[in-house]
This record gives sequence, C-alpha cells and structure tokens, in this order.
Amino acid sequence: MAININGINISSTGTSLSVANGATTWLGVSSGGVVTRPQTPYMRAVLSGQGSFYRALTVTFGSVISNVGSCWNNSTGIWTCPVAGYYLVTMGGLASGSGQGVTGYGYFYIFKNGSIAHFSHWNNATSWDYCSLSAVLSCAANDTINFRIISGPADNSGSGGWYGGGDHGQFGIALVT
Amino acid sequence: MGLDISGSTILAAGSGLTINSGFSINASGYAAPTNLPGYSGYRSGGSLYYSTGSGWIINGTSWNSIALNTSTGVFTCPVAGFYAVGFNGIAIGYGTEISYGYAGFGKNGALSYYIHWNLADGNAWQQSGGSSVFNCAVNDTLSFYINQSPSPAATAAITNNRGWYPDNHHAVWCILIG
Repeated sequence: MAININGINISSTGTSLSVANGATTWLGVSSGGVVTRPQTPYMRAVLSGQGSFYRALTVTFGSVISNVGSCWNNSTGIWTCPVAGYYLVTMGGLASGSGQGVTGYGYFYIFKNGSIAHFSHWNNATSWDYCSLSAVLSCAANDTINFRIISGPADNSGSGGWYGGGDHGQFGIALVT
Repeated sequence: MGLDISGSTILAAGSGLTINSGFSINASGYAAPTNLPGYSGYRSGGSLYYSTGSGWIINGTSWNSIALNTSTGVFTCPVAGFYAVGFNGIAIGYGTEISYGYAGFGKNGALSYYIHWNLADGNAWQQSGGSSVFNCAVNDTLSFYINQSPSPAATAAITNNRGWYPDNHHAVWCILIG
C-alpha cells in the first residue's frame, strides 16, 4: 500500500516504511523501528599532502572523502547548511610541540557564519599533541560552518601547526538525526 | 493535501513534507527535526579549573534547548531516549605529584565513563576529550565533572586549582539522537 502526498510516496513493504521521491528514498523506518535518512548532508575530509605544520585561517583539505549533498566547498573551505537543523561538527589532529623546533602552541576553531562558535588551545613543550574539538551547532538554512587552525598568537604568526600529511587530521560535519 | 492520523499530521510543504510540524523533509530529501533537546556550550570566564557542586557550570552556550540549567551545569532530559555527549578541552597538571586528572559525564550524579590525563611534566598542557551515548529516562540528569566526585577525585589537583582551562577554551555538548 502507498500513499501519495503531492508526489511524495509513503509506502510499506512488509513491515517497513519508506518516504521516497521517485526512486530516491528520503526516510526509512525498518521493521524494528530503526530510522534512516540516506540523504543526510554529511562531509568527511582529511589533511593530506599539506605539509608537516599545517595552519590556515580557513582550513581546506587535501582529500575530501565524502560530501553527501555537496554542502562542503573545498575551494573556499566553507560548509553551507542546506536546511535548518542541528549539525555535528568534529575536528581532530596532531599538533606541533616546541621540541620540534617550531611554535609549540596554537588555537583551533569551529566558526559559524564567520564568528567563533567554539575553540580550544594546545600548548606542548615536547613533541606532538593530539587535539580534538567537537560541537553541535544549531543552524538556519544557508548558515555557514568552517574550521581554523592557527599557530602562535591570534595573528597566526607561529611556525607550527597540525600534521598535514598521511591523513592524520580528521574533520567531519553532519546533520544530526 | 495531507494525512491526519488521530491528530498526527503528514502534510505537503512545498515539494517536501512535514510530520507533526516538528520534523521536515525538504525537496532534496534532507530530513531534519526542528526542536531537539540539547546544548553546545562552555564555561565562560572564571578561574576555576575543576568542577564543584552539581558539575562544571556551562554558563555560555552557542545554543540551548532550555534543558541545560546554565547556573548549575545540569541538563535534564525532557524525554526518554539516547543522548550523545562530547567534551574537548585543555588540561594542566601541577608539579610532579599532581600531573594527572579526570573528567567525564555523569548520569543522575553517577559516573559511567571518564577520561584520564597524565602529564610527564606537571606544568605542561595537554589536550583531552571524549564522547559517549547515554540511555536516559525522562527527567534523568547529565552533568560534566572535572576532578570532582563522582569522577575520581584528584584531591591535590583541587588544592592547587588544576584541571581544565576555563574561559571558553573548550566545548561541551549534548543532544538527543534517537
């Protein structure tokens, strides 16, 4: 049995339920009640081939692994929210220490609409320091999200950064269920 | 055109759908709830590196569904469900005897998971963080603790005011995921 609402089909196969536009499933509910949303806007990217001490006012990636919905623009380093909702934002990587002969401290940020939403700090006198930051942002349609990594003080004048090779820096954005 | 099932509605919205006005699917198939319980925040200002009372007081937020009490840091679950939590910040030890610390979320004042940092140089900084998912009943509470019971109590760290750097240099969040 199926119900058509303005061209959108709500149908049942056995004991599962799906909401679909033609052949494209928007929402599924399994027989066990598990809800899936195959069109969920999502990106995952890594620092790759970007040097030993990567830093940037707007982070871009050597490798974008997934970009469902094409919300991430890797030329500009900007994610544009396609709909209002709650977006999980994550970043993690390996930051420089002063024992490596470079600046051993810096800051890393999650920006929303060009303003700081959340940030943290690393300060390491010896070797590499694993850093991570995650947050959920409440966004309207067309709000933007981006990442920043700076070495040293706020003017990004330091010589350190995050290890930019070998996929050591992992970043992700996804619309939360 | 739409469907009404004993007061629950599924309605056309442009080229998409809305379900009970709180869940929308747009013309590209992006499905999103519009009113999830949760928050994303930080301890704004202050000079205390560890939590007291009912937990780390998250008094600054980028958003808050009102379930977080920004005076106490206690999040009260408005509905039963699975709540994802996350926390990331920068920790510091003190001297060689207090180079360690603990942090984690507790449910109803009892700790389920925690992290531990242990610095070779107690005066050094170290990034730390974690995440987990809690299965909660309505009115269960979730709070974040640093060097304070029910997390392992680092008494010497409290005496010397050591733990996580406050003043916005971290993020703590919680959201209903299912």
